[in-house]
Amino acid sequence: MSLFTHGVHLPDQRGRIFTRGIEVLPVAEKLYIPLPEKLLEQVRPGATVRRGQRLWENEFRLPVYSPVNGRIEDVVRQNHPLFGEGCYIVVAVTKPDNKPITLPDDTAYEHLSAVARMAAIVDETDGVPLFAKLRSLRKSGGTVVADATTADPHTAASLGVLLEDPARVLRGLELTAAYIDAEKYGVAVSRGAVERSAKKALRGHLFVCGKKYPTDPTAVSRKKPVTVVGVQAMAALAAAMDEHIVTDTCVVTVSGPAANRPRNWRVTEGTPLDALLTASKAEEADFLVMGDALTGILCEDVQTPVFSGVTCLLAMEELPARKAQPCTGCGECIRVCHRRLVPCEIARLLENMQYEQLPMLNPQRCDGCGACSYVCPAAREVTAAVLEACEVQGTIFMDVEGE
Amino acid sequence: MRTNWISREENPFFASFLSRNIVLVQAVGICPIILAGTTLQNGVALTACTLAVLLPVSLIMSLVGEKLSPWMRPPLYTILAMGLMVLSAWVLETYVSADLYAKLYIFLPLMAVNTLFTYRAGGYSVQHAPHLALLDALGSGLGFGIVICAVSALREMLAQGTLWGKPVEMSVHFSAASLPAVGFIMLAFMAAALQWLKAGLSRLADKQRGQNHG
Amino acid sequence: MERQAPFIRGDDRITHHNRDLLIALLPILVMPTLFYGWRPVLLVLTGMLTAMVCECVGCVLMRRRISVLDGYAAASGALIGAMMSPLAPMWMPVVGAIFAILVVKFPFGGQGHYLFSPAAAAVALLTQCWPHHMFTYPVLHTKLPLLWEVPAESVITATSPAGQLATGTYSVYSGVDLLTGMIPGPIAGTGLLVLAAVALYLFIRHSTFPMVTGPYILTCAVLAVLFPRASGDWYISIINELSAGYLLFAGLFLLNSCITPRSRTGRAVYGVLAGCLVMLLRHVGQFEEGTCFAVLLVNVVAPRLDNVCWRVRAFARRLWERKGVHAE
Repeated sequence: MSLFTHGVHLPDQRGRIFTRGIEVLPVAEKLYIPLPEKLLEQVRPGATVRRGQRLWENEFRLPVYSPVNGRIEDVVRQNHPLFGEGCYIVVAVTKPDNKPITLPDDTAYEHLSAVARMAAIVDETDGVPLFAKLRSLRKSGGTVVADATTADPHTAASLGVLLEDPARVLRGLELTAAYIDAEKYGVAVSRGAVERSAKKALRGHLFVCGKKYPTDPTAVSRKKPVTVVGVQAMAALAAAMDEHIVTDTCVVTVSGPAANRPRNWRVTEGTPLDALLTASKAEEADFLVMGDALTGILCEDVQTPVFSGVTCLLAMEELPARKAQPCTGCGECIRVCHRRLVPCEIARLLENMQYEQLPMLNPQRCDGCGACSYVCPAAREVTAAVLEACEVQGTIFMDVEGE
Repeated sequence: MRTNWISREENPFFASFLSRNIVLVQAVGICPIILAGTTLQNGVALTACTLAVLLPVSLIMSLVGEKLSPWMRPPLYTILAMGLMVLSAWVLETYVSADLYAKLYIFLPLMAVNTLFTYRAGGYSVQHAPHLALLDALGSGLGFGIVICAVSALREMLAQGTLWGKPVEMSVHFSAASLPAVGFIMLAFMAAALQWLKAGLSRLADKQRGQNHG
Repeated sequence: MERQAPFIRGDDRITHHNRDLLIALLPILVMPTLFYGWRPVLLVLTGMLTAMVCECVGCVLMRRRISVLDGYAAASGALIGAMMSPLAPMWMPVVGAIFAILVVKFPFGGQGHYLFSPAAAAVALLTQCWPHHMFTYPVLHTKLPLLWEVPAESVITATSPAGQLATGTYSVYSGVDLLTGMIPGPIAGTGLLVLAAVALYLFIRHSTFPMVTGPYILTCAVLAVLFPRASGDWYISIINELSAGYLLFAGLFLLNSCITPRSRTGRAVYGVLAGCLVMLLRHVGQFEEGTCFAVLLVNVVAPRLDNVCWRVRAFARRLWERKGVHAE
């Protein structure tokens, strides 16, 4: 029982996903590779690509490597629920190849950030390219924390990667810490999430967070600023630095009530969702949620490709349906909000269109963690209302400035 | 057109009496109902006094109001209402019942500055012809009267088990009924009932009109 | 509209909450049942059933989905029954429940919209109308008939501690009696220890708000020390005031209805205000027990308290930010 702390206990629904380790998903027949908008005219269907071939740079100036040998079948435009609308080339795989992609060695890698850029590492916690993050944090000091907290009921990807090879993640962290002059580095895990053997391997570099959702990895160390990085990005960084290998896979948890084989899958980037669903025996699922259960986005197209940044896929037979009732004034949403907002009052003001009072309650601090909607006994869409209030307030401010 | 009488604006009597009832819709003159409307005798006496004051004041205001500058109207109708109220109170005390006058002692002078007069005599009558003003004053007075009589009769029966001073067969006495809070609740329920009735009637009218056109 | 996250939901806590309230009433009813037979239980059940029937009627009248099963009506009705005297006639909880649901709850817009706690309003009405029924208590261990009205002369009545306090003396019962509830009084108002256990259960289940009940009881205790109604030691005053009437019961059940402020500070202020009003009404009130009136009065300020709290917080934050800017 807790009276005064924020956050909410969520039921753990991972079951035995961890103990099964990470399974490697065979390369699918078709893969999606992102294509910058400006190259749309230059790519012709029918051209062939080679595994490891450097195709082009994306909008973040990260090189895009082809993960397979194959032939370009099509150029499509798709609306990805996480990355927005974009163009992709569809590559039909012709010859499987398991050799790792190596970094081009003609470049002088004096900086870690250059390696991170050439290895095309994207931090899965926030979707920012790692090299950009490293550059902006150069010499900032503080603490580096790899986020492997597992407060959300389904996601197991980051902890799975950590448990698979703790030494590699630590190596990546060590490199990062040395690069940004951090005094401390380590992995943040939820209490009770790792066993003794893994604790031994992480000795001295293990931060333990509470079990409540949402966890705050930035609160684990008093050495500020605390930089949060992804576990997968760290593993990829270590691989790129020590073995000159470009990681072209990402780890995705497939879980949910409709997934009959919930697993951590290591998938090649660009694999469409239907391959994952087939492997997890979740073809029956009517609803797919990309991302975790509290912040995820409903995904309607099974051809949506998976990239680094997608860590969880939920297959559900039905969405939870309870009729929203009037607010009972219980104050649960205020109790759980880790940003100290007043979700129920924000929702009420929005309903009554008293927009002028919204700035008083600061809705723009919301990070959409979804805890308030989860606990609401009246099943109201509180999170959605607060996020809408952020937008409304933004437009009001713009109007004022325009005058 | 007969079904549409309830929304007809040109008849001030019906407007103030029923469709836009002075108390239940316009929320004017609630104070005496809540405080003094505890017995039917009080209610009837207050209605009579209101009518006796409102009719002449409205008539005078509609005759001379237009010719006066706006700042002179409130003192005029207030003084007129006070004078008439003193007169009617005297009539009540000497010719009707000194006992009743003792019960209504403080409420009668207060009636003279009631919003009812400000609103009807000072507002409506000034801008309208004398016959319309008289009709409106009659409608307002009776509209106020019907509500206060209904509320006070109910409260008298519930609280004291009597009606017009005579005992009524009631098994339970509900002594809280003479509290102001219960008066408010009764008024609210009556207002809701009136709105419900009006909504039902207008729906009926719409349906009939639709049939006529169809 | 497209469905948005989150895609998992907590339990149906409304039903849980009301079930908790009803469960919490069970241990409270044990002692009265031992003392007076099954009549107190029957009073509570009568209130509960009437409230549920009225809820159905109200839902039908307002053309809404019938929501009896969420338990609000049952809880309100049971609370009304629990605040009666064991001697009260059976029609009292019936009248109270009808008033609570059909006059206080539905006309204001039903669940989530009403302004006053229905149970408190009903008890206030009953106190106002029939104080002799509310405040006549039988002596302990009187076996009361189950159904029919108890003739006044056949029962030996006793003055409750609240009544004795109102006359300016401490009760004749010992501290142990007051703690264990061996005193005449309303059905649910007896037994500090039982109520404390129930409070613990409700706090653990998150069904009542410690931030309301705590400051409320604390304020009552402090005021009992500062303004004792009879001469004696300070702790005697506290224990007498707290065990009189249904003060604690109201703090647990009535103050924690839908009409509470939602911010923590607001809740604390709400509790303190309620405590002050309860003690004030005990000193100047017409009845020996005026807690329900105090609850109604604080219900009025509840929505404003929140707003004031948030305004103050926003103002403080703005000041703080401005100071930060200057420091830079």
